[in-house]
Amino acid sequence: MTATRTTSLLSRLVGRVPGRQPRLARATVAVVSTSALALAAGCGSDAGATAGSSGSSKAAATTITVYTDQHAELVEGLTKAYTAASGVRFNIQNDATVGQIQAEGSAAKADVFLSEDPGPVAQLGSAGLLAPVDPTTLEQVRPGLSSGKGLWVAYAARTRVLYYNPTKIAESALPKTLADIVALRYKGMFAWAPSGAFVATTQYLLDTQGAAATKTFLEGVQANGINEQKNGNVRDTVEAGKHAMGLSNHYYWWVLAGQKGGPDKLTSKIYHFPAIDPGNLILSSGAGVLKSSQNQPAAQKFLAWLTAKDGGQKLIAGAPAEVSEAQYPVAPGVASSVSGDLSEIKSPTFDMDSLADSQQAESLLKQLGLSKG
Amino acid sequence: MRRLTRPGSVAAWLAVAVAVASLVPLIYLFLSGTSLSDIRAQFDYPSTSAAVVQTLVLTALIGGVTTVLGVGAAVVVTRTTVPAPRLLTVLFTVPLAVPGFVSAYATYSAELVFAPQSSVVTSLVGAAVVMSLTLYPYVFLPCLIALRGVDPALEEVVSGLRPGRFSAFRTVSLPALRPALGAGLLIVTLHVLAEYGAMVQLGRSTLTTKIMAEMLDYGDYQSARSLSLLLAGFSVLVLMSTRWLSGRSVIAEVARGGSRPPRRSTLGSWRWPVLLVALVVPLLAVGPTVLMTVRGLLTAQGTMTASWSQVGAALSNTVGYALAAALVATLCALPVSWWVTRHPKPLSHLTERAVWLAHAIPSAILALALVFLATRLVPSLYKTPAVLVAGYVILFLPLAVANQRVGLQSARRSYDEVASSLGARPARTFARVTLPLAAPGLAAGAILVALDASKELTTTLMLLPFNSSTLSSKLWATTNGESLDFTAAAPYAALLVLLGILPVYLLVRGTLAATTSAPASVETGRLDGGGPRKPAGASLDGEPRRLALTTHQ
Repeated sequence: MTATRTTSLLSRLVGRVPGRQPRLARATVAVVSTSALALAAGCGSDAGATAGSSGSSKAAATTITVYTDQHAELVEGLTKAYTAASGVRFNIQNDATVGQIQAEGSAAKADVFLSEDPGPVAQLGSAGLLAPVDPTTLEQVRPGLSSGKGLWVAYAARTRVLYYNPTKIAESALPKTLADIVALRYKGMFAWAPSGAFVATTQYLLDTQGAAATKTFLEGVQANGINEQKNGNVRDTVEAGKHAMGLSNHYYWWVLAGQKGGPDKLTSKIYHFPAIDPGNLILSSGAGVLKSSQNQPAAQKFLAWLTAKDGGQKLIAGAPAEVSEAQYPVAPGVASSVSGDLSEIKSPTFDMDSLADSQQAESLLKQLGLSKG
Repeated sequence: MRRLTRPGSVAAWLAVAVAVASLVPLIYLFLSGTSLSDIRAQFDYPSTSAAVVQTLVLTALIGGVTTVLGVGAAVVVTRTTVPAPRLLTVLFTVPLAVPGFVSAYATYSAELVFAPQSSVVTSLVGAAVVMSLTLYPYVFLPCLIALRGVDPALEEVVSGLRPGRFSAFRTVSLPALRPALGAGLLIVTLHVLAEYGAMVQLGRSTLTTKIMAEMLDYGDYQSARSLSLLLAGFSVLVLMSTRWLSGRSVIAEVARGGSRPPRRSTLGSWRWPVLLVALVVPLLAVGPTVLMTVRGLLTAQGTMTASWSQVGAALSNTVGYALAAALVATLCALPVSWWVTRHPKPLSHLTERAVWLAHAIPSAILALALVFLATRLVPSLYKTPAVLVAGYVILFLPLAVANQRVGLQSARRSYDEVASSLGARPARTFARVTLPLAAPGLAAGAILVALDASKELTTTLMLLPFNSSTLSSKLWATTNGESLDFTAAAPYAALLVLLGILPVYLLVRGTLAATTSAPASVETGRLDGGGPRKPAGASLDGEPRRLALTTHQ
């Protein structure tokens, strides 16, 4: 690498640093980057050997780069099906974060982001990193599930549920609303987890019921519930009979049921609150096209397939739980063969773009000591 | 004389360059924006100070338990007539083969299966014990080397002068243990500070779990970076305090030179009870993982989606990346360890300490730093194994440096001088004298780097080339969101552990061989006239021994 090239790389680096750096900082950058280069060059020798960069056997096949934090099996299933249908190939970055995309800056690789919860994709949207989704794609999905601004489209959904263990509590004794669960008679009987979905629920409560009521509810959860850290742990502890009930997401239970050979093989049961209730909140998994993508038409086409009745939705509806993760399809008239029809879920509607900034919920949860981590 | 200094200054420059590369995550924290007011704002929440307190309590607890387990195990294996000491040594080291988050998941799930009403594993003390059981080998191994290396003649002298059951141990062996313990505790402590997956599963809230929650649950990267800076501050304190623990004497100065195996306390009829108690430690450490994995392999019905070609690709990638990391880390660590052993002065010590800092920051921050730098400086290497391996190297370089120091100290500086006075050029001296003597240390460092690289998860997930996988990324991908279920994950967990057994065995064999007889004694024997290695020659090579004796007069 020539000296001038190195210098220009360095100035590019320094130029992109937010807030001008004093000279010392520049000097530091120079030293670091030089040694980083040396280090990278040292490793470079074995780079070519195993690099799986798109070996194009088919002439000029399109490759879409997908960044995702969705369950790996579901993304693998969806992208493989699309490759079979269209010949388009994929580069997949699993466990992707908004932070990685932001750290990549203008060198961002992603064409499409597939989120698990609405939060990250809404955050990308509010950071101005997403291109609007084709209106025809948005129209393929049930109303109220995608970005109100049209920046991302829902392609799957999960709901909040209550798990319960019938050996510990009868179905008739279960709370009728989410707010009920903090009643004294349930003290010490339910598990919960400070997951992203819990933050979303908190944000929803803040938006609809105000700070005081939300705080009272959360204090009840803190006093009467048991924090099991993760939704998966909530499922396992209720199934094991450690707790009578647990607040979680629907699909963990169905995945376990699939592994054990059917819902009847589980002791615990899944419960939806009887009326429209925040305890049944639907949360979308969203798909967005990155503004920086050089592959806009191909990426938009992929989103159109993903949300089409006979495309991605069919796969989500029909695949076994270990592939579909028991997610609900979101196209109208399509129901999951595992977990059923989304229209049966009595969830209140809300603007999921509001989850781009859950600062208010985060702050309240932290004040109460209910935050994760 | 000029000849001697020139390679020294080249090594010094290389060492500084390596140290600066190790500071990449810290520099990224500064470049990408952190603020003190942000840290202050975090402390408005009571849970932040609680997490800081818990971090410190856990660090202290785990430090204490690993010291007891590590030193105890080393004493039992080297200083008692316990049956099958070699097998026991391997068993004591085996927990190194199990990734921390896997063992935490396994212990948690085992409790849920066999004692569903109990909450021992997720209690503060329970979590500390689970973590200690995965980390104590880092204390055990250096203590093993130190205890094996102590010259029994020295202990005999002390017992002659000052009778009493433990006086020899206190006067001779303890000073030898101190630097070994310091080195081991440093690794343990920094691991505890930066651990994420295991801590979350064990229900513990630490500074690192806070940082990860800021990133993953709240998308607040600025706060995550600011808290990381605070964590780095703690690491600096740890680096300074373990340096004090190591004192001025260094492991190998005391550790080398033993020509007879050390004396062992006769256990008599206590041999078998002691063996049984000793076996409990590795059993508790790896038992849950083995149990849950075997259970998963047996009960999985139809859910096993793993195809053998996928498993094979993940396996070969894991091995390839780990070996590349070990090789590059060994090369990068050499100037640092050579400089600090040959020219111990403030600057070389500072350089050596700097290498450790990256080890104490959540690896997600390091990975983000490499994403940030690679996309700007070497965009064509981003998402190739080069950047991933660079990440492993920065992360695990300290393990290489620490072990190389031990090796290089056994190749004494005076040997270099003898070689040079006989007309050997520095490069030849290095290749023919220093390197062979230091080889066991170099190998131990490389093995530990390879082992840890094959277990690393966070860095792997972010920097792995597209559509590629390793055993740990595959293991993670089967978690079905958050919880390891040991059905789909079982084949990967089993392979990861089996893969780890080989380096563990090599490590133990190498350690035992290196401390019983000097492997390059023929070479050095020619150079130093054989003096220091003869049992009678205690006074000839007396510098370190005098040190051991005089410090406790």
